[in-house]
Amino acid sequence: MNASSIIFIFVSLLAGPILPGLINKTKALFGGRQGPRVLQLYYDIFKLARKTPTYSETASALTRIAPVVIALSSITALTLVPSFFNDSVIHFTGDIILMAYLLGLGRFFMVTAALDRGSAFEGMGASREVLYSALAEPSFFAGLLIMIYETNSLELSEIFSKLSLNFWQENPAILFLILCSWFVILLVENARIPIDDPNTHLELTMIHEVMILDYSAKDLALIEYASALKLWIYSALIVGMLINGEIITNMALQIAIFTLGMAIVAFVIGTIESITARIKLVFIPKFIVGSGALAIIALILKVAGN
Amino acid sequence: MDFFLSAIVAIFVGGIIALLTGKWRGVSNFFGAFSCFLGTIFALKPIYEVLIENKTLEAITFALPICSASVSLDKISAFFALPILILGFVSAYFAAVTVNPRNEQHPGAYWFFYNLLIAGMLSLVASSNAVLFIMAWEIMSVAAYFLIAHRDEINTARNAAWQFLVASHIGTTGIFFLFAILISAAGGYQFESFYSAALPEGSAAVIFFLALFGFGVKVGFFPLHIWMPDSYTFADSHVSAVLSGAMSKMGFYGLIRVLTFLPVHAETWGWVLLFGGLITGVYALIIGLVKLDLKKVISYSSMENAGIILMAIGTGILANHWNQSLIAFAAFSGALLHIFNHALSKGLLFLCAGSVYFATGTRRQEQMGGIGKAMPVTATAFGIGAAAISGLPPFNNFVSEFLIFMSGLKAASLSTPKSLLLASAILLGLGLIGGLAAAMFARSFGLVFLGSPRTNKRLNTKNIKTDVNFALIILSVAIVAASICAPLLISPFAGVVSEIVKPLGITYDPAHLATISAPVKTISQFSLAIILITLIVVFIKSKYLDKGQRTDAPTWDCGFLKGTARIQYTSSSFSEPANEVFTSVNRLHIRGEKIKDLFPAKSSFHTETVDSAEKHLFIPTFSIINKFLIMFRGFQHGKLHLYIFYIAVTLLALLIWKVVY
Repeated sequence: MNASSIIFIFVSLLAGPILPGLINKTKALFGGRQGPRVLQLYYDIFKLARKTPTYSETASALTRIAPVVIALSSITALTLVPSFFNDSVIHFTGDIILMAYLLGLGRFFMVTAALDRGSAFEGMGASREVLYSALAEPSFFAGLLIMIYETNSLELSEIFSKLSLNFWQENPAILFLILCSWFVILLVENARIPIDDPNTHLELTMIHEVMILDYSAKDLALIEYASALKLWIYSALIVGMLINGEIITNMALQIAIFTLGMAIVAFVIGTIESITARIKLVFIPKFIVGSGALAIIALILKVAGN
Repeated sequence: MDFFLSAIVAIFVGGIIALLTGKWRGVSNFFGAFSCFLGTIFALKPIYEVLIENKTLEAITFALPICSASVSLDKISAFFALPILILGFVSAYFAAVTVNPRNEQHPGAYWFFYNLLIAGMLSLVASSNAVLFIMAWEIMSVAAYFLIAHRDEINTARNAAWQFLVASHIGTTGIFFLFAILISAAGGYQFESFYSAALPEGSAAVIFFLALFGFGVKVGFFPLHIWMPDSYTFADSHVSAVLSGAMSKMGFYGLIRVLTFLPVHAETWGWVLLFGGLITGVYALIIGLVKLDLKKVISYSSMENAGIILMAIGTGILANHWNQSLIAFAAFSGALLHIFNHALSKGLLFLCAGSVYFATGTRRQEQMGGIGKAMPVTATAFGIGAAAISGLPPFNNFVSEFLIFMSGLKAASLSTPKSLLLASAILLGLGLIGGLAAAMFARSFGLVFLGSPRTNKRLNTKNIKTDVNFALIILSVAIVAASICAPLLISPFAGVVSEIVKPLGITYDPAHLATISAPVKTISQFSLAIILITLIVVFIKSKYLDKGQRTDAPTWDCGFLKGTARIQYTSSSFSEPANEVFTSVNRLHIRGEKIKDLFPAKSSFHTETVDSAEKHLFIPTFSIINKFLIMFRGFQHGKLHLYIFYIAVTLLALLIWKVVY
């Protein structure tokens, strides 16, 4: 644990809600609109946090507990993310497994709480969410496997610091495949287009949004915040994977590059959202499994290359 | 060792007293359950001595008709006695407060067979002699049969019991053969003589595969699992808890025990266990995810966890073969810890299902919903059990799955193609299994306990048995404790691991324990932090923040305004997307008429999933066997004098054979 990692946690906790704003700005740019402010999510969260929640008559205590657990799962997972290409606050052998499963805990509560309101729609989102995330898990670990294989280390921050620029330059195909597959996971886990449309207004086609239909006020604020943090975590993983922190020793420079990287990820997500339509629900499993297949191809390439 | 034997005797005698006093309600219950409690207390001392104090207990030898047999308690036995005792005691409590001898057809017999099952399993782990082992194995299987068949007035329960008996005995033939090979090679019946047995070339592999077959039936190794879901479903819940949490673990005990007899473990065995376990786990989830019966879902999850444990054992064998002691150590520790953790969480889930069954009189998830409000303790316990068995932090199964994951990660860093194959099987396989298990249990938890009741008639609050809550609380607390105190559990279990690999001539570096304990310690701290912070924040939130003018409103129903409980998502609709993906495996049968005209008449729709292994493998195989055997039907005609004639002919033939040769 060092100063950089502590700063990282605070920066992430504060800056998490910027990413959705940047994505929306990008989308507005493509659409020729002015769009909402970059800090819009902050305004929303503050507005919601001041209000008193209304609960569904059917809801049990789980609905009241779930937002806390969901937010806590994102925050605890954040402590395991490498900070500005350096160590994470807490790092140990196999820390990425804990990270993946902490996010899984949040998902479990999100899904069960969705069934808590006895709604006709929320179960729909829940049933999709559990399946898609279960299918995405193997491809996430497949990408991880290649990096462990290359770097011989089992700690996330160590893996990222050892992934030299050289390796990616020598294996552009592997880089491209892992990047594609992890990016698909980012889109799946954070309910972005082409998997899910955060702006959709039809309950029947929603995945993430439909599960939080009955949340309001402080609870909704917690969930929106947790979702933004989750997007931050996945984006930080992709940025961390691509850029080697050991080359850049100056901390100010590290922070600058990291910030730039996150902005680029947000821009890419925004671009994808602007230029693609969401795919049909029945094709989503194929899409996810396909992205897993990319990671496995990368794995085979790596083994064959040695 | 005296204490352990007295535990077995106490439980057995308690069962007999309960049998004799079956007519008096209460007396029978008291003796049945109290003897289990007493036995647990007795047995804890020797187990503590063996596991924690590292003492060697002196074996007790006595005479059997064909040989002298001895019972002893080494670390492996002591470890496997733990789930038996914990679940034996908790389920006995559950039975004592729910079983009413007045309503039972065979009062007393219930307790007799229950106690016989527990005593049989305890003797099984204690026996260090092949004959005694097989005897205890049979006692266990037969007692389990009678417990499942207890509800024999129900057709399905009777069939399930038959299926269990047949499957179990087919498995036992494998065990008979493997011990026959060992006995003939070693020239003795004692387990100690097996260690030094000079096995003929190739027979080690035969023994291993016989063990995998024989014990695989008990653990639910694909495709030998088909008896499992039905038996667990139609047995009473406290029996299912013992069957799944303890009896199926005896299969692992047998497998591990037999592995210790074999001087060298081939690499192939590791691969077979690894991929067999993977297929078992994924298959169980695909089928379990569409099952509509709450207890069937929990049963398939037993099979899934068996798959995980088999994968871990396979990894251990492979890593031993590659001289990667750290990977092997992590894998074996993960396997043992998972056996222990799974016993706790699966016991809890089955007891919760029992509690729900008493209140609703059904196991069909489609007819439940909203039970949590009437039964908050059961709902909380099931929630904890569901999150735990899905391998989610902050609960105990995550720790054991983490250790298995860790062996996979370490294998990935070895950088050989084979190790990479191992690592991909573990990481990708366990990742998928974990995700699907979470889906399966989120579905059951949500549809049974949350939402609003789907049918009004079902839940009868008068039938809720609050006495059982004590059993549920004990197991929930045990799950949380096993998660937070995981580092303390690992070190005694490490002793068991070294006992498992000792016959191979492998000793693990003591530093490995510290290596795998370090991350586990961090994880337990995470677990503790998550639990505490959640409790504190929820307390503050409910006490201070949620106050104010709050108006509860109906659930958002898209402006429909006439929302009823029937618009809720059901369990078959919940599993529909998954069904679409896995349709080639689970083969959903859809029956019903399509709606045609503008003014449709009454229509019906019915879906059903059968286990593909049963439908496409076992039913055809058994019908072929049946066709063959039916030719000999003529010999069975019920005429006693002819039967005596058969015996005479057989004896004559034997006599002639003896004289000629």
